[in-house]
Amino acid sequence: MSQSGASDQLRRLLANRGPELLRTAVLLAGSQQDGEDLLQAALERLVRQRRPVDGSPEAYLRRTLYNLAADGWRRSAAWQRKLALVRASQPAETPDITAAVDLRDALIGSLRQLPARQRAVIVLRYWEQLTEAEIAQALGCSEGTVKTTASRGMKRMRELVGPWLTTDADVAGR
Amino acid sequence: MDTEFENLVTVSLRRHAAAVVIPPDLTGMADRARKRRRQRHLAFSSVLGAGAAAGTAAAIVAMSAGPQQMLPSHTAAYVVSRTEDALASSAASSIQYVRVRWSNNTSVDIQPVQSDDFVFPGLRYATNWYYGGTWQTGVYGADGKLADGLEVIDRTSRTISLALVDYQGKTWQQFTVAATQRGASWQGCARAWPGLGGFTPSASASWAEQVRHLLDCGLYAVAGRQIVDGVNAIELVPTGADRMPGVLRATIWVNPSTYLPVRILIVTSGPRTWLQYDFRWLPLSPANLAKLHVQIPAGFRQEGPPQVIPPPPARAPGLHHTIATVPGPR
Repeated sequence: MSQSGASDQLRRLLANRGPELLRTAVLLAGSQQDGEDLLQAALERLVRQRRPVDGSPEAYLRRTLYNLAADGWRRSAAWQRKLALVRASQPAETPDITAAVDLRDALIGSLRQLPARQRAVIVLRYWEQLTEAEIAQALGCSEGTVKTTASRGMKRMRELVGPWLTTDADVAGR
Repeated sequence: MDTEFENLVTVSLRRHAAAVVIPPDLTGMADRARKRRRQRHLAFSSVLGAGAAAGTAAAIVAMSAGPQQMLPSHTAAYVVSRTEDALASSAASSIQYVRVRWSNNTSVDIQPVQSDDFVFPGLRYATNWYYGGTWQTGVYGADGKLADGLEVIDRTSRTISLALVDYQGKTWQQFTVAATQRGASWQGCARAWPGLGGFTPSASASWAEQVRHLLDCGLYAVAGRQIVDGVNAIELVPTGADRMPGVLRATIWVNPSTYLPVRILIVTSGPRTWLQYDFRWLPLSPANLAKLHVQIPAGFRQEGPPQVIPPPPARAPGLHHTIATVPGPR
């Protein structure tokens, strides 16, 4: 395919599926800014491909997103994770009296504190709604590893949001 | 694994993702990625050459340049134009769920049967599920237990069928009342305020009308963005052009993606009371559709309809609130 043809294909893909891909990237990365950077990094990989990708470009992009996230994309920038923790602990812009909101915020904050691979597995399982087999395929590991990682991640999240769970979980879950 | 906790995680991710701001030039990302790669390549080349220092700087700039933060212009016109589009696609295919909370010194009543029998001081919160002319309201007591349930079926223009369950008294009633004027048409600005009834959970079909009316008539203006219920919502505040009697402030937050309301907070003047509607727009799943109907547990005694059924008020039925001050804290 010519350069302009590939570019048009990419534009169409982003126009149609961009918002969903970005949402996934934001959840994987932990913030809007990092999510956009992650998606750009994945796009770079796609653009860099000299040979046409096997299968659909979206599937390639998703796999790249998952793997970049799981491999601790920006692993060297430890300060970024610290910054995420600071952001998570900042009070909401508006004082919020809804306990359910606090609980959900705490859950997202706890997700940011998970190691990259655990976070990726949780996002794939509970946001992308992939099966354990599909996650294993996407991340190139065994189903057993996915199960263990998900279990550890959920356990850690539960520990982190423990104090919030005594409040209005009933409505928060709706 | 705890299914409830898993559901909680799923819902949290969904709501967090819904608040993600989609840059209007998302397709430009590919170009930026290509440009970034090109810049990096050039920078690398220059590092190899004589201008090592300059090249390193260029490389750093190229690699650290983040994506531009582009937010749509949040003007009133923008919100108005987006509201209808969003409602056309979202509200019609969603079940509206509202949780209503209020301050201790506020009392609430369930409409459309406006009667003291249906005023519940000391209640903690209420929930309302609405879709396609049917809705169910549950009112919870201070102990968090379901105190009363009301199911309303309103698919015709002539009558409204009601089922009212008293969970504490273990009784239930079923009756029909005549329908009267349904909501109002907000044509022009003569009638400045839609009234509190306009914010009733059951009035989902007229959300577009109401928001448009408030903005078009200059009654509300876009104040900016705020994180509300995990959503980076657009805040609409009253301009002061008209004031609802007894109300100090009624703020509306709408979802920037769907332009459906996320929250309405009403604060009264005088003795400060507040009442808050938190909205959720849920998929038409069998589980959610089942929530439109009250549950009548086995063993509950059916009672006859109320002896005197006052005519329903000329406003949209559903859960309304009465801003009434209850003396002293409870």
